[in-house]
Amino acid sequence: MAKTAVININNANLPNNQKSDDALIVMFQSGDQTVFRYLVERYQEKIRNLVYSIFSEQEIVDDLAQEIFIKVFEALPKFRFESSFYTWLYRITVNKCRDEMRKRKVKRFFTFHHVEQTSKIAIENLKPVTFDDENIHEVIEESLNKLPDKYRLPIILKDVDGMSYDEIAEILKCEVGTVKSRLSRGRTMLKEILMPLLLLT
Amino acid sequence: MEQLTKKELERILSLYVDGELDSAEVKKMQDYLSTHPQIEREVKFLQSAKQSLSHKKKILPNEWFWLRLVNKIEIRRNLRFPFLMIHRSSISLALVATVIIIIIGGVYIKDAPLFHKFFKEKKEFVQNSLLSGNIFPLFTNLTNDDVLHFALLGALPIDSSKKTELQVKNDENKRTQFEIVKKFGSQIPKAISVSDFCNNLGVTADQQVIVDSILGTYKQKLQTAVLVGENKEIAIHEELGQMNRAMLSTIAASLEPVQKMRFRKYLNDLNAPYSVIAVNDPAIAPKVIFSRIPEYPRTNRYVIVSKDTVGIAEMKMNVDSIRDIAYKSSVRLRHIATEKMMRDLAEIQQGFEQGITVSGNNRNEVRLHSTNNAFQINFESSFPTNDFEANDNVISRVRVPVVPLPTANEFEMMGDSAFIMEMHADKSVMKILKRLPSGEFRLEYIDSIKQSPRMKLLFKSNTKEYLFDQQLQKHKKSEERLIDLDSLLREDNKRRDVQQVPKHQSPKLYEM
Repeated sequence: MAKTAVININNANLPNNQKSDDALIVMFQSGDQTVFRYLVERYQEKIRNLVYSIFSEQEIVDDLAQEIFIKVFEALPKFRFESSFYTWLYRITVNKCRDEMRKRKVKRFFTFHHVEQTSKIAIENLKPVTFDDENIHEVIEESLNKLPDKYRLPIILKDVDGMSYDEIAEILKCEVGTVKSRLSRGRTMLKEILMPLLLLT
Repeated sequence: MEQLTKKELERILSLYVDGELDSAEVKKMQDYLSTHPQIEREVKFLQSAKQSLSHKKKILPNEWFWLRLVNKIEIRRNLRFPFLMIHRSSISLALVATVIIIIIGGVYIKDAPLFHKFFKEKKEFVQNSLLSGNIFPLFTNLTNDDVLHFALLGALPIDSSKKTELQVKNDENKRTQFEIVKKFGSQIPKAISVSDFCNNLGVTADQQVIVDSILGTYKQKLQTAVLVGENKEIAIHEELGQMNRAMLSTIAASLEPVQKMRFRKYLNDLNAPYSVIAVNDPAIAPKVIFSRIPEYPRTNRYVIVSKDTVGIAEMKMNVDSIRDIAYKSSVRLRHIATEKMMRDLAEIQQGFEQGITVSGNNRNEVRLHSTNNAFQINFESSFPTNDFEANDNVISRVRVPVVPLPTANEFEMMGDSAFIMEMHADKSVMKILKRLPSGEFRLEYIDSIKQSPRMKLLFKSNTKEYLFDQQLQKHKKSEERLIDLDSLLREDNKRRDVQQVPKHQSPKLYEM
């Protein structure tokens, strides 16, 4: 059953850059495509950073983020306000990133046994760290990249972007319970990779 | 809680870390953790990892994002052909359309000489109008510290906050690159002063005078090395690409072996693009040093970038007049009004011989390249190298990349013709090759490049001419009577009338 759309457009007197997402979309759908710029400027850095978190490659961030906004531009006339623009945009982003992964034939799906093996390699290559070390971000990022996507994406959305379980479920098109269990599983796997590095200090 | 399986415990720990348990459950968990230090340690680990991820390093913002996005959207719109939407019943219509296209194509081929005529006229227009307006030197108020900064790092600040720089790179293969680059945060270089530099090298007071004199001599040369044209052009003397290295060599020649060693270390610590060699050679006498600094400019060749084109061109102009104006401007810059400088520059037009000779050989190929924060001009330098300056004392540690032609795939990804193009300047014709998404090359009209909003914006933000324009507008509004300013405006209007460039059909998205 379709969700009821609640549109927040009660800010007609505000300048365009202060209007709500919904109000801007209504204007866009009425033919004023210039307002698309405000939506882009509002979210472009969030989307660029999300893409960067997923791929850890700065070179592809802009191209992919632009493809995402082009997709949004094309799909916006059909936006039905059944979810917030924010989660809809994130869903497009995640789907586009998944497509890109498929294109690149990046297969991160491996078993827990493989993670253990990878972590052993990581221990040999990386120096012991503490959470106070400057390079802890890189170590965590490196470890996170080793997780399968279905565990990695919820962690990125939850811990990097600070989203709620409901929002993540909506973006990933799954149940809240699934989000919780994937987060739990992902964190356990992350711990398996990271713990040895930290225990050594 | 003791009865939980490992999996259930992990799930509850994850919820606890996310703050998703209610108060009773939290209390229960805290009690449990107080009696299980191993689990408590795991929780602390999860909390720290979560916190660390929330502070993940952000990538630098991209101020060109919107503009590139608009270009891409526009290209997609233009490429979208409605063929697939044709219904079967419309096949006959499609056949008729095909016949019409073939007829039009035939007419076009028949009219090919007209096309060449049009192109020739355009070429002549570009050649005659290039740098035909007023010009003024970009670097008028350099200090010796700025000059030293340029010598050490090959960068000259373009704006007062030093966030935008003109960077010069050159390598042993005579490849040279000028790059207008924006700096953010930690990328903004620390200030370098001559006195700190001398202290580091342990030079004597007499030697410091020599270093100051070398910097002063080159400062004059730098002041006329980059010129900005009234019509939104920038001309960079090709020798600027080697001048920083020449300056370092000259300074190195004035130093004793132990100081040269320190100089080498200093450059290493600074991560400078050059290193000092021949450290055991004794210092050369100041008289000899100054006699061997050549009179710049040794050639009349400039790399010129305008809204329309790019190339190496020979220009004869009265450099002494420009230098004089640059000197006067630097002394009085704080008080001098921009329009006054424009008047002065209008006067020195006497010394500027109009007309450009675009030389033609393969070495004159110039390529433009753009990255997120930078605008690069790559070319091979062909001015004569001589003296001790270029090779004896300093070696380049950088390798200027050969900017390759974009692949069809890259073109597809970037989708911007203004920067995916190769331009050759030769005697016969100014060619602009544009790669089509199909992979073919097509000769492009100069006007279509002129209309690129992205190109215009780059120049607006990266050179000072935007301020120049603003000053012009300001005085136009205040109706201040300025003889040369008025004539300038008249000329400008005339030029616009003559030019008759069709206005760009901006999509609605541009109207911000």
